[in-house]
Amino acid sequence: MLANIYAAFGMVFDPYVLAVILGASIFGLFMGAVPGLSATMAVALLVPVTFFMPPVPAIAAMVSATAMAIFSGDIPGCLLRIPGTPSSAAYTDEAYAMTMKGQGEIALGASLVFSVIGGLFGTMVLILAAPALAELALKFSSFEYFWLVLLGLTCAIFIASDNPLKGFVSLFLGMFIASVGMGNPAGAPRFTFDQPDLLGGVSLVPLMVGMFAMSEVLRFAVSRDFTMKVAKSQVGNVFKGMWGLMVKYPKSVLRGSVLGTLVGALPGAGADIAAWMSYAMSKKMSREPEKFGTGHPEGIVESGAANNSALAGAWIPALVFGIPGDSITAIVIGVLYMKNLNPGPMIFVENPVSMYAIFLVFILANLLMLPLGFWCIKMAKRILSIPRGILMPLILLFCIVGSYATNNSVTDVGIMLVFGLLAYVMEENGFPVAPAVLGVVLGGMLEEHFVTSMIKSDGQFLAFFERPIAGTLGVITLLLWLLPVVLRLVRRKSMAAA
Amino acid sequence: MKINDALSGLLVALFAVVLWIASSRLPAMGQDIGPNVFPQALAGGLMICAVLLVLRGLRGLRKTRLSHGTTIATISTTGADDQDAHWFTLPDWFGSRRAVLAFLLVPASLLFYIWVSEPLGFLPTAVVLLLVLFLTFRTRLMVALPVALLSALLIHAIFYKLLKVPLPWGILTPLAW
Repeated sequence: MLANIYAAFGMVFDPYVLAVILGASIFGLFMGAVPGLSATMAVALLVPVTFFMPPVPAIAAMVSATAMAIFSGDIPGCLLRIPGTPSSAAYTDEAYAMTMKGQGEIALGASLVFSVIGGLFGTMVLILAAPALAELALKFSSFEYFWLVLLGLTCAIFIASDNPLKGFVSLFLGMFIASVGMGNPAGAPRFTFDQPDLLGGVSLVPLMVGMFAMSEVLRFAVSRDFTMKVAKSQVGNVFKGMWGLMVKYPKSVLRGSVLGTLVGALPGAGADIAAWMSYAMSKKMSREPEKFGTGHPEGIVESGAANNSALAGAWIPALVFGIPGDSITAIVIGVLYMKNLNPGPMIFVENPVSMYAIFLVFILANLLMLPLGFWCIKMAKRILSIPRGILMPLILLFCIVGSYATNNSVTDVGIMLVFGLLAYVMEENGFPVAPAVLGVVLGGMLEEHFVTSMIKSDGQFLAFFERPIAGTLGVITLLLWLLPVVLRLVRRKSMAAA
Repeated sequence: MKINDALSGLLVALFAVVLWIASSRLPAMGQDIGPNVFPQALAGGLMICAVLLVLRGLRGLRKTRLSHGTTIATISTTGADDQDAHWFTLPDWFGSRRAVLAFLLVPASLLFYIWVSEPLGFLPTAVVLLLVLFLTFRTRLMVALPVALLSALLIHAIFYKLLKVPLPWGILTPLAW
């Protein structure tokens, strides 16, 4: 083990990898700080670039960019009252109210410092929990995996979307996209329309670039131009008073980090949901809930820690089971497969050095956030004054070249176009996009485990409940499905009685 | 543009039927669980969702009709501010010619790239594409032109030189570097 850790150090502290981490961090800070560009979009845009890198720097780029983006999304929240990424939306009003009260430094400082603490906490849980879970997961067979995938997808829909029905439609569409091509247990070409380009399935990179980046450009194109007015131009020392907050709200820091990690580890629920839940929790548990919303740092401390810890938490199921915890890890899992670093419990046996290297990158990126984040806050005014009318066309061109680059074919630009428009129309009509991406990533896995299990059991569906862990997972999944129906019946009954 | 849940439900149902039929034609490959099973299960799931969507959409429409008497606009043009259910709701940017143009320009610029990048080459295509979009998004020409030129060169350098992506040279082939 020590030898592995030593080897991992050698892998990470390599000038090339360090340069990638630094570059990706600056990129992530920028993407997070500009409203309309999110952490998910940062990863989607990084995919084509990482395509040409060895596995460890590729993963390092994604880890650092997302960690930075989730923090820097807080900056425009403080200064403009516009969240830079959805994960900062929960406490944007609070942070802006603090700025209006002349406490902008405290709001920005709390965002930065408690992002780092939350991120480090999530990383620690990831380091401790992932290998232990992997040991357990080694005993899993296709039955357990079938239920695990199904449970993950179910959680994604019931927890992460406010409209489960539309979430299901989105999920099924995603799984349909996953079924295109020859990558199924029978190896039969499905829905390829005799196009050789589709035999290998719909290319993942243009699909994700389209759904997460191009759809955002479309949304910008029709937005009313609002002039961004920075509420505060001079930012002083943001680290002042942070120790005081830490001593004053230790429980908030811990609660935010724990809740964030847990929510992140739940499939389908990511940093934005962690932040909302954490902010609500903070207000509920606070001794002075009446101060929330008036420029009170407590909620920022708690949910600022939560969204960054969620980021690391999402990697637990992603690495151990290959089940993404949020849309960012959904993209990462796609990249891991492309790099022949197939996620699953075996990754800890076969590639322990790479795993330790990923953990190291997490720690490094979170520590790097202190100086880089400080610098980003100082630069914020300049970053926010770049007109989005210049940024968005550049992003569009980057999307085009990125989609083209993976296969050197303009067909992929067409795929990006189709999925960009699809994602835009879906979101306009209240169909969430994240379940579709989960469906694309997990559809093949679900089918494979189902077919393998059915063959093993000679077509007996009851075999899915015979093994203890599989049975438990199966019952939980079915209960989750029945829950909304039962709730509705109970509600109707109580309404009839009243 | 927003369409009523009843209509999107119908679209989903249509897709589910097509998916079911298309999967039933897949070869069985001599297995109990052939390649058709999974897509057909998806089609079934989509069908259930479609029925629920249609029911929900119709319920919303009926509620609106009851609260307004008999007449109700099938197409709402007031956009997001309108709380009532309609068959169609046009987005609030539909009135602005600039917004519609900007929206259409995004897919148009992708099609432009797909058709033109090979013969014309990456650099000229990128410059034209950026320039048109910059100007549509109200950037002054004096800013737009140098930014378009420099960023096209920069993106070309990143992908062509650093990542070795064979971006086409097109008409600039004699000058290729």
